[in-house]
Amino acid sequence: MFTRASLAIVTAVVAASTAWAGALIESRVSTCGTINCAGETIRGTHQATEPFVSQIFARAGECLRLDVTQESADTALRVVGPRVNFTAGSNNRDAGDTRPLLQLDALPTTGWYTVLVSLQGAGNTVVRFTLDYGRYPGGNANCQS
Amino acid sequence: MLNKVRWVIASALLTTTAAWAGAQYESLLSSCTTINCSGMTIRGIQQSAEPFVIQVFARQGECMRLDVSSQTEDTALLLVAPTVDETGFADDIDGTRPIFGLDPVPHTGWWTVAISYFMFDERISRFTLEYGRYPGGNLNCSQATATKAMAPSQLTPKDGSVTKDVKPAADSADATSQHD
Repeated sequence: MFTRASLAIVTAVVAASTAWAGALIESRVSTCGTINCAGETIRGTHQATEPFVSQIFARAGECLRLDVTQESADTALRVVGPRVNFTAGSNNRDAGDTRPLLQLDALPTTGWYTVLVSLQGAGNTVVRFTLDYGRYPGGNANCQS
Repeated sequence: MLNKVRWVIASALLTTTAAWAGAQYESLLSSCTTINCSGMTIRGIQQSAEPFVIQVFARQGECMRLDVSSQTEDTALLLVAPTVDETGFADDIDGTRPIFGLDPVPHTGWWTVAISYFMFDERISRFTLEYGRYPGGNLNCSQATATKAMAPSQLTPKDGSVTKDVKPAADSADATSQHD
C-alpha cells in the first residue's frame, strides 16, 4: 500500500511536470531548406488570462523560426532573449492571416529564449494552437520573407 | 530499501517542482501603505544564459509592485501582460535595481516576469524579488517611491539597446540588501 502511494505521487508529479509552463525544450539545428522542415512541433494551450510559457534553446548566429501554424482563436506570440531587454513580438503574419510568425536571423546570443503565446487582446478565451520551433543556420530559407 | 528509493525520488521531484521556471505565484491584496509592506519575497537565480521566469497574478485596477530589493549583479526586469503583445521594462530605477510599479493593472490574469543580468553575459545573478498587490493608487505604485509607475498605454515593446558599462562579476554567493 505504502509502495503504491509513493508510486502514485511520483507518477502524478512527473505527469504534472511535463505540462508545466516554463518547460525547457531544445531542438536540433537542421540545414534543410523548406519551411518548417525540422524542429519541434508543440501543441499548446493559452488558458483564460494565462499565457503559454516555455523556454527554448538557440545559439548565437542561428536562424530561429517560431511559427504558430494552427490556432483556435487569434493568438499573439512573443519571444524574450536570455537578456530580458531583448524582445520581439508578432500578431499577424499577413493581412487576413492572424497566425503569428517570428523569424529571427543571426541571433545575438546563445542561451534560453522565453516563448509566450496568448490570445490576441484581453479576454477569457481559451486558445489551442500548434507552435513549430526550428533552429537553422543563419540565412536559411526559414528566416527569409 | 526499494520504498526508500521511491520516496527519495518523490521528494526530489516535489522539491524540484517548487523552483521550476514558470512557477505561478499569487499574492494576497493588501491595503498597507509602506514600501513592500505586503506580498511575497521570492529569492531567485538567473542561471548562465537562462533568465528567471515566473508568472504572478494581479487583477484589473490594482497596483502591482515588482521590486528587486537585493541583487548580486546588475539585473533588468521584463513584464509581459496576459495578452503577450503588451510588455513593460525596468532597469536602474533605484541604483542598478529594477522596480516596476503598474497602476492601474490593465488586465486581470497571469503576468509573466523575466529577470536577467542587464546584458549578454555568462554570469549568474542572485536576487530577491518583492511581489506585492495593493489597491490602485497605493503608495507602492507612486512615482515618488517606485519611480516607474506606468500607465497601461506605456506598456510597449523594448528594443535591445544598452549603453551601460559592464562591471566585473561579483563573487558573493548570496544577494545582499541594497536598501538604505
